[in-house]
Amino acid sequence: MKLFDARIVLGRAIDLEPFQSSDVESIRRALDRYGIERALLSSFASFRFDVSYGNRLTFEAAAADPRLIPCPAVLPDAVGEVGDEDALVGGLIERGARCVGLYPKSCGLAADERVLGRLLSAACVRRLPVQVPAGELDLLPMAGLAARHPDVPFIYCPYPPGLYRDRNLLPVLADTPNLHMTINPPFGLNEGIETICARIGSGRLLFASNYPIAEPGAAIGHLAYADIPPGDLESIAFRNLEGLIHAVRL
Amino acid sequence: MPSASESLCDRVRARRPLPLDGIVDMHIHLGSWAAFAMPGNDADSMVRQMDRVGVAVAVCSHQACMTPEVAYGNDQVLEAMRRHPGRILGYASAYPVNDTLGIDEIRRCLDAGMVGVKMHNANRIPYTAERYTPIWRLANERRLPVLLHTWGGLGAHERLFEEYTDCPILLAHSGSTRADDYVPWAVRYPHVYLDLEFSGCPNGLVECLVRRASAEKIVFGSDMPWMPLGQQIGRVVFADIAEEQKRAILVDNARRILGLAP
Repeated sequence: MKLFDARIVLGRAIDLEPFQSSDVESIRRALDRYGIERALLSSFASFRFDVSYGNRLTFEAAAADPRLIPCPAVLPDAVGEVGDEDALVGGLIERGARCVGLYPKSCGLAADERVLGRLLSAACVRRLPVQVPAGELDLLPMAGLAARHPDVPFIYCPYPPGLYRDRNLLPVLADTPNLHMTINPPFGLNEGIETICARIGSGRLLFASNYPIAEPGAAIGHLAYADIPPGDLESIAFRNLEGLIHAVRL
Repeated sequence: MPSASESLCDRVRARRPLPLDGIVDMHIHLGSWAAFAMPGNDADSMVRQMDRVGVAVAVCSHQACMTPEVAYGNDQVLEAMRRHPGRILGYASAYPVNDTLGIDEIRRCLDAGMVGVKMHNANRIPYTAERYTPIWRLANERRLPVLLHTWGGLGAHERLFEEYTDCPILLAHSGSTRADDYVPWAVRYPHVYLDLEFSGCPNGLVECLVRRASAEKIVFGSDMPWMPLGQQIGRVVFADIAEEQKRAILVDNARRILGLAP
C-alpha cells in the first residue's frame, strides 16, 4: 500500500506523553517501518513556540530526507511580523514548501477576512494547500474560510479531543469542495471512510498518520480495512495529496 | 496461515484478515447514540467488520449501559448473541437504582448466556456505590470479567480491586489520561487488566504498557462502533512489540479470561 502522509510533526509538546515525540531520525525510521513514501512535515515549535524558529527546524529536517516535504506554519502580516504575504508564500515555495500550516488557536488568529484574507489570497495565487488541525479551528468556521477562498485547497486534520463523528461533518464536506480531511485518529466515525466515499466521493479524504501524536498503524489499519474499492483506497492513500502538491504553482 | 516471512503488518497492508485464530475484541457496543453519528452499529454490520479484519469473537454491551434503559439494551445484546452465536458474546449491564434494574437484571442476563458485566459511570452511579455491591459479589463468585469504563481517577476504585479478587477487572480506555494513571494498578493487582481502546491512539502507548505492565495484562478492545475496528486493531498490529506479545493481547489473554478454548 503506497502511502503519502499528509501530517507528520517534528519535536515534542508539553501536553503529550514523553514517548509521543520525534526527531529527524525517529521520523525516518517511522517512514521505513510503516512504508510511508512521502510525508508533509510540520514542527510543534512552529505553532507552540515560535513560528520562524519552528519553521527553521522543519526545513532543516526536510533537507535531511527527500521523502519529507516542508509544511511550515504561516502567519498573516498583521503587525508587520512577516512582511508581504505574496513574498512570504513565494519564498516558502521556493524553499520547498508544498503546503502550509495555519494555526488560528495557537497563534491567536480569527477566521476573519480582515485577519487572514491577504494571506489566503496569496496562497490562492499559488494554489498552495493550507493545512489546519481541527483543534485550531472548529469545522464550521473552517468551512466558512474555505468557502470564501474556493481556489485554496484546505486540509482539515482531526486532532484530540474531538472525534469527528458529529452529524455536521458530511453536509459540510459535501458543500465545500475545496475542503479535504485527513483520516488520522481521532477520526472516529465508524464506517466513516466508506460513508464519505459513498456519499461525497473518495477525492476529499487524505491519509495522514499524525505521527508522533498518533500511532501510524491506526490510520493504516483504518484505511486498509475500509470496505472501499482499491481505486478509492489509492486515492486516499496517496493520489489525492499528490494531486494537490502537483497543482502548486511554482 | 501466513508464510513465515509474512507479518501481521503485511496482512493489514494486503487488506486481508489477520491470520491469528481466535482474536477476541473485549469491548464493543451495540446500537446508536443520540449525540453522534455511528453508521454500522447493528450486529450484522459489526460482524462484517470483524470478518474483514479477522476478529473471531467480540464481547458486547449495549449503548443503553450508560442509561436507565438497560433492560432494552440487554435484550438487544441477547438478540445479537442469538443471531451470531459464538461471534457476539454479551456483557450484562445494570442501572442499580433498585433490584429489578440491578442485581435481578444482571442475573436474568447471565442466566440467558451473557459472559460478563459492563459498568459505565455515565449513569452517575459510582462503581463503589453500595447498590453495585450485590453485582460485584455475583461477578466475583462466578469469576466473571467486569469491564469498567474509565478515564483516569482509578484510585477511587482501589477498594474494589482489593475486595473482588476472583473476577478479572478490565480497565477500559487504558492510557486515556496518562499511562502512569493505569500501569500501577495492573502491576499491583493480578486480576486487573488494561483494555486498550482509546480514540487518540497515542503513538508509543501500546509499547509503553507492554513494557511496564507486560503483554499478559493487556486485552484488545475496539469500542466499535464508537471507533472503527480496523483503526483500533491497527495500533496493536503495528506496535513495536514482538509478534507473541501481539498474540497475547489479541487472542490469549482474553480467551483465558473468558474461559474459551485456546
